[in-house]
Amino acid sequence: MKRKQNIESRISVFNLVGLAILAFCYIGALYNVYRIKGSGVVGGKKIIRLAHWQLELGIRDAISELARDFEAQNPGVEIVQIPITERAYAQWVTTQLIGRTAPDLIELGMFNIVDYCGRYFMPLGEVLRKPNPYNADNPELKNVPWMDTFSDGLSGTYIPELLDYYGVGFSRFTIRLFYNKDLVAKAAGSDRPPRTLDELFAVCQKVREYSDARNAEIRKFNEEQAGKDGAMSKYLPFLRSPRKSPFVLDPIASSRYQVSLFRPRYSSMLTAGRVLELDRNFDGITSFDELVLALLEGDVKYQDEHNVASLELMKEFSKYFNPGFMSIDRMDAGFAFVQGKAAMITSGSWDASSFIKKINDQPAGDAVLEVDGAAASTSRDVAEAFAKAAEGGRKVELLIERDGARHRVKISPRKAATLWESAGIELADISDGGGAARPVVVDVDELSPAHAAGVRKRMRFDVGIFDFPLPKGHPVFGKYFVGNVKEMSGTGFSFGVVKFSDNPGLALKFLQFATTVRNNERLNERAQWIPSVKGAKPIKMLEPFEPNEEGCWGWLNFVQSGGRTAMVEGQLYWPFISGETSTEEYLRKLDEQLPEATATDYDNYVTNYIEKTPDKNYLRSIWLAKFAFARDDAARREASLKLPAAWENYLLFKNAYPKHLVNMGPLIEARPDTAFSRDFFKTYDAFATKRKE
Amino acid sequence: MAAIASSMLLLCFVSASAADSFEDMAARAWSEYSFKEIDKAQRLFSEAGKMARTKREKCESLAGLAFCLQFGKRNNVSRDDYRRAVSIYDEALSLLDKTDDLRPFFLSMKAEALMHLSKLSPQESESQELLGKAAGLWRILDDEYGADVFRQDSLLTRAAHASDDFKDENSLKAHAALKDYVAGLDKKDGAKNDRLLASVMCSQVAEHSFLNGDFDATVEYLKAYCEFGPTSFPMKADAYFRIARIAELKTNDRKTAVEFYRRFYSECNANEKSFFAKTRAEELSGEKIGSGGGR
Repeated sequence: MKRKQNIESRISVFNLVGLAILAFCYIGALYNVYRIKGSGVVGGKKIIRLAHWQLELGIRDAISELARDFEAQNPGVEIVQIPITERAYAQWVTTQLIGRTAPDLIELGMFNIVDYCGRYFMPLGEVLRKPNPYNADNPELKNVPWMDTFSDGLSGTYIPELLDYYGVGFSRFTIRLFYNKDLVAKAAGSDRPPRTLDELFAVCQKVREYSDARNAEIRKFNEEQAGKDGAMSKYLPFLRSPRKSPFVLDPIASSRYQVSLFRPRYSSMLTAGRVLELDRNFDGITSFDELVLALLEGDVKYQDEHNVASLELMKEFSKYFNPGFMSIDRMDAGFAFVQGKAAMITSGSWDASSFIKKINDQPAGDAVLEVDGAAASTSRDVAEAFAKAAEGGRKVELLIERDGARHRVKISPRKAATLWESAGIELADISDGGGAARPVVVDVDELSPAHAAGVRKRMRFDVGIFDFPLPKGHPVFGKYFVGNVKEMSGTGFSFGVVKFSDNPGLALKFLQFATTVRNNERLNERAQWIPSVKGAKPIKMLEPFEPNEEGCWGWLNFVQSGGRTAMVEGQLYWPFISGETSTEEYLRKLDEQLPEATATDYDNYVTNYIEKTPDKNYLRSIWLAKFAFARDDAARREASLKLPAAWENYLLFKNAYPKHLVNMGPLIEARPDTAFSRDFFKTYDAFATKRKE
Repeated sequence: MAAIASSMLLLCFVSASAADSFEDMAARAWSEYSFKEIDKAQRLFSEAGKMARTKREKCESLAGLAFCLQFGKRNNVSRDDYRRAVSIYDEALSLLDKTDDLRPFFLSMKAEALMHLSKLSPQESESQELLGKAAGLWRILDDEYGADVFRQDSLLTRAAHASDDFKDENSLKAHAALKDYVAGLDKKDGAKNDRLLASVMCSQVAEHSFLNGDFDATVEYLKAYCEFGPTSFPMKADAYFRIARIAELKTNDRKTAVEFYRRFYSECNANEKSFFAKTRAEELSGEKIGSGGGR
């Protein structure tokens, strides 16, 4: 009994200790949150925290450098950078914003911008309409509103629903094709970038042929090796003669992400003209409702020849993609290119520095310094020495340099016409870092004497960047070509100031500091991105990313983003693009499935406008009240700007139903006699009946 | 222990955030209102009402309470909500005399609430009676507050809610009233507040005209919209482009088309359509255009 009491007493003490630890931690955590939240001052310094998801190379260093300069000018201020991985970013930001522990500056994106900006971020319109104080010593910009110092006037950060600007962007981005110059030169005979679509496909074809030839050699070799195998090797694999691995080289590294870059670009080049033809309200855009009307009236079909051409073009592209491109992600496609397993890849300027750094971090290849004690200055010297040694039936001793260290290797060459056949290596005269060119091993046969001797090939390569080649003059697609695509030079890498920041003034000051011509140029020079401020120049490497100023916009897209049409079309598009279904089959299935989905989306489209109208009126009420009860001139001025904008936004939604009546009313009455119309109205009527009930 | 500590901290937060003046309380109430925290806003507006010292403060708290009912529930505003809002507006109006600058605001809001109430009314006679009351208030606004911002607001409200059928007589009348209002304004000078909602009126008339197939009027009012001052840069770009396209393709007004393609190219240079605008202007005018200087 006493023993039992002792045990109970010990448990009780342990419980109390546990509870005390828990309580201590809890209070500590609360205090910590309170301390951070309370003042934004830690250790006597005002802390400005800045969160973003840009883990690409150089970005963090670029921001750190800028932050140190800002801190030097603002003693007692510290900028703390919080890089968050892309996958967790939205969740992390949401948690921080709801918990009111969010950083002062947050990169805008990955989350619902409209909802979050309205709730948690400061509108910046007023301050953006005044000059940036850091431009005071710039005669050209000192009197220019801050927003007008950006290449796009920050129009991309204006949120119509919220009637204000919410972000300040540091960089601009465009999309290009990257290519492995060494591989393309080897396969196509020249490292000049293709300028037309014809040339691009020709290069792809040559890369494919080069790869096929290498694999044919490997297969032949492996078959010869198989012929040498004895009967027992069937049961005992280690007795088998060695085989070579397949040679992996695809013309274009791709994934769904890359397709999502290729498709709108090339579709726009071929179908932008149709977009203008179908635009009814003359704003230059075919909105979803305009597209539905065109489909119902038979002004456009899925079989539209421009659409079919753009589908065929993408299918032509996909022939040169890596197998299974739909099931790999963007990163894997990037790795394939960086590792030399693909000759080309498409991506944005945001990936340029990462690609180049990763490529340059790979082995430079063994440089041959001496052959049998004699200095080797060219590949030809080495090849001749090998030929002589093979003739004499003796070994060759090489002095090679690898990562700064020197090694000696001995290779027994075979008698053969080329160095590749004789020793299993390929050399090229390469100058790394501007020095004199020297023979470097650029390829090694995996079952060669050189490989056995430990010779290692060069993995890094020269990268070229070029704009999407145009289908102008192409025998098939040329006649549909409308023009190149005009690239919106909109700013990205935009930061918003959090409403409950303890130091919003300082946070804003940092944004102003970061967007002077000089600082924006320096930031982007380090980040290797394109500056967003007018007059700030990109680095030489990024010149190919300069936006196209001339061209068309928009493409014939039959789906409503996020809707049922997008889901249905997505299900059909991937088997089509991967070659599982033909163009005819894909179009036939669109005819079968898309009218119903289009009716669903159209109904949602109109309903969505109707349902959101009171919300827009609510926004109007806010500014109406602010106008009526403004306490000072500044508040009245702001309300004077926002009230008309709120009204306009409200009317945009309020007019949606009258617009529907005007446009769709006659068609609901007339019921055009087309297959699309019949299938469309079957679903549309069902919705209408359901609503009446 | 933990509970005590957290309670103490909570108390600190609460006491630190307590408002001690009408201004603070009203500011917090409007802030919650703008965050769509209607229950909190309602509570704070009631508190503010108790702290109000002046007629204006009392009216502000009453407006807040009425707005929570009339706009706060967005898609779920009931007849009772509108009725309560109307009686709150009445209370505010009873505090104000004819010269008070808040009177047109409350008249306009009350009329709007009555109009919505009439739409929810199950009986035609009651509906007409409520609409008649609203019309009576609008008449006061029209007669006594010609250029007041809240009269402008009410003109837009009447046009937006006249009818979903833009060809309907009520809709045509309400939009004609917008045209009348705009016609009497000086586009460049004149009192700023007189023109506060003029650009919106013009864009609404333009949309109404476009949907009724009147392309000349569409261009005319989009031009007027640009003169009164578009509400944002994207809206300006949109208006320029539409004027140019409609003038080129519908009204065959080459001069206007060239002018607005040119303006689009020079003022909206970063826009995706700017090169197209330049090309069209050059083709229509037969003249080469230099590089665009704007955004």
